[in-house]
Amino acid sequence: MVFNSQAFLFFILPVFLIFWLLSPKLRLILLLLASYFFYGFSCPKLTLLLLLVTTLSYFIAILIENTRSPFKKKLYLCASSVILILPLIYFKYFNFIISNINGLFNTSIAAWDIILPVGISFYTFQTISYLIDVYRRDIPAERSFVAFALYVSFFPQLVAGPIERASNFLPQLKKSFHYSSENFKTGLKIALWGLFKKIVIADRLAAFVEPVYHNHTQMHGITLLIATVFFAFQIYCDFSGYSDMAIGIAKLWGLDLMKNFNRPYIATSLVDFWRRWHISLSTWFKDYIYRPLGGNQVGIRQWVINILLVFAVSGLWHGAKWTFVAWGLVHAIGMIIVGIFSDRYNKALTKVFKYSQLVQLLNFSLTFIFVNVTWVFFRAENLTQSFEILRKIGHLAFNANLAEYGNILLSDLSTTRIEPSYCLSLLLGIIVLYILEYYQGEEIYPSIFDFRQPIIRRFCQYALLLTILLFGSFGASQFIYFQF
Amino acid sequence: MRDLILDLRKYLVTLLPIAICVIATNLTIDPGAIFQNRSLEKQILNSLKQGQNAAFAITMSQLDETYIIRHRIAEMPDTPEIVVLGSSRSFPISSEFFVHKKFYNASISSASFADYLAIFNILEKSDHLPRTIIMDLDPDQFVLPIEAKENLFQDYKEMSKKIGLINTKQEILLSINHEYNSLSKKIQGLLSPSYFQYSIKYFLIKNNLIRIDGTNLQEQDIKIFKQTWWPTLEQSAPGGVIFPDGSREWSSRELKMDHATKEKQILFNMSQMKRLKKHDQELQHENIVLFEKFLQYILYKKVNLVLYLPPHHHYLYNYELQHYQRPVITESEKFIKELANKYHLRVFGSFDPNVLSFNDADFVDHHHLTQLACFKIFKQAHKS
Repeated sequence: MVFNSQAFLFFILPVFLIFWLLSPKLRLILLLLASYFFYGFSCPKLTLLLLLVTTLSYFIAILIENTRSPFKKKLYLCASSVILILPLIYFKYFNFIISNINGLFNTSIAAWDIILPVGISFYTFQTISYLIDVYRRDIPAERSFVAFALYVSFFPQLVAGPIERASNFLPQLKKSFHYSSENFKTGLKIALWGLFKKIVIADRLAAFVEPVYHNHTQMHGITLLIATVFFAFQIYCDFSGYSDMAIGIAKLWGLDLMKNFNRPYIATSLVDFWRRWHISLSTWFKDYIYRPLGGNQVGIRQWVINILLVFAVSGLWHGAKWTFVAWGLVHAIGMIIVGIFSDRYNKALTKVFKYSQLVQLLNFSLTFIFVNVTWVFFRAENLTQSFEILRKIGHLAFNANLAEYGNILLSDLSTTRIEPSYCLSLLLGIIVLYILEYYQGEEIYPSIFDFRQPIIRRFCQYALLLTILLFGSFGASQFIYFQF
Repeated sequence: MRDLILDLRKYLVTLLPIAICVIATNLTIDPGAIFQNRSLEKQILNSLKQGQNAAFAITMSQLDETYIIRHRIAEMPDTPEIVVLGSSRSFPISSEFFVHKKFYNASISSASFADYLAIFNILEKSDHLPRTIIMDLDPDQFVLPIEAKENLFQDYKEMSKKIGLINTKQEILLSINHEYNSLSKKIQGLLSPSYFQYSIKYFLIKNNLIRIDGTNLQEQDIKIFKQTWWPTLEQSAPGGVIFPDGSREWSSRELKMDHATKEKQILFNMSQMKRLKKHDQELQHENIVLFEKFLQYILYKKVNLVLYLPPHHHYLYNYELQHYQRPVITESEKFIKELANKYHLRVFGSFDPNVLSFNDADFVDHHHLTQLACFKIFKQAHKS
């Protein structure tokens, strides 16, 4: 079940209403049952794995807390982490490992017919972080099984995050739930904003990106360049749209999920980008891998290794393909270069340019270009395809003939049956997104929907609704991050 | 709780005008004729009955062909001697191929064996079983799931029973599914935002408020402009022509394509083909069984059967040979020919374009022949 489907509407409405009709004791049970129903809607068997992971981590956490010996604590943590990761390795990486063994040793081991359970990467990481937090005594082990199970399976964030921290979520379940008009209103606005990003921007961009990348051999550099930039916004709007919907839906019950995106395409450095992109995952890697490895408090060689390792694992987390690893490693190299040279570079830049805005603009452009280059690896089917696409795009720089580009683009568009006016409407959508996000500031949705004057406020809200209604793509398409 | 009820009431009141607007628009404009009673198909049917051709401005892809075929068969004054059961690949087979013979081409787009069964059932029920059936075959039919078109479902069900293939449990499930689909289509259509979008666009075009030149349309536009057609005696039109004998002429836009555009189009179409998206191609047991049982039933009814294998474009044929160990395109032809030998049936054509020395000019796209090329196959077969 996806948020942008009619089925979800028929699911969420009764759950929301029944929740407030029930006695407080039963409310968490309802949310838990609803979460399992949501998860098992298309494949009920998947709930068994979820239940197994939940039960295991629930008891292990209590065991870790009750154990006095530091060695045993560590042993329990390591053993349980390995056990929790095993299903992830099996479901997600088994066939990848087999294909690499076949490639390396020229064997022909047959791939297994394995279906990846949706959201496994997300809830595995969530449970591991909980166990580490209990081990570090940052939080106590949760004694209520229902509350813990809900933390692992809470349906708005179950399949594609945000990867919630127990320290943020579990205390909220202890408080009594009171209906609040403010929460309801805010939740709806956040969810609608997420829906707008998903079905008006992301899904429409997908209609351009998919045929172009699918037929990349016939496409020219200019078309591939546009498709890559469009993909950057597609994946952002798709994933942040999902996160916003998750945050908005949770808010209907007064539950606050962590913010997952903060306008990543205004980042002025790569470090800044990673503070804004998939925040719940990047902070997870920072807190549970990067810092325990020593972070930046080590010698330069160890720091470089730490960065490479963290980003390679981060890439692999996204999928069992070398393209994802390459995506992570290219980012790692970028981070290393930024880490080593940023101070000298910024000093030199401020000497050349008088105005800091110009420096910011240059940094923004360089970051945007770099991030877009890395998206080619993320989107392409394999490394050969990635390099081929990058070669074609790179070729543009040496053949600057604008008039010719226009004709080539039109010819490519006719091959993919895309109207040039459709292309322009996508560009307009991105510009509108930038403007609205400018008004958003650090908030989770653009502040124009909270304008002081009621007429303008109401106008903006209706405009959002009508835009979704008139320009949304209502095909209940899947979210890209579901596959991770 | 009081706050909740007040809020819900407030938001419902806010959303009610939008919901009413959506329902009213969808009901009144109704571009896909979900709530109307097939006015488009009725008009085209009348035109064909009067001996006129139906010309299309953009495409006929969204037309309910099954309605037209069902009524054409039911209202035939005489039983045709030859009937074509086929998919779009046999659209060019026309009465001109069989001089002095009563002929009807009952081909429908993307037809599966299930659709063939249904049309055969319609012919049988209306007592119009011909002396000869030309059955167009395609590798897809042996690989992809067997699904009847929605409006042919009942006939498919009846025919399946006759050849002894559907058990009661399956039948009930299929019926429920079918009933659910047609009812849910109406309910969903009423409040559907995407249908609302189509309705608005359709209204704007009809009233000349926005302009569309008919080229490079998006799939959703094609759905909207399906109703742009006119009765004619002309043989060609930008979106294709349907003739009273059931045969069709391709869209003149497609026929006039230059080589480079056609090549791109072929590669694009190939990228969209379901069977090429499968990693390993294999003839499906279920499809084979259904095909053979159907074939036995046709012969039992004393109808001559001719199997027609339309060639595929070299690009497609060679691609399959190169990318699959046991390509379905050759495996299915081998199987068909073995079966034809077993039942002493004639086979016209071959999936392999080299067998009949076909070249690029003989194809409209990746697996559709021009009428002339199609005629060549029948002429050669006739000679032999």
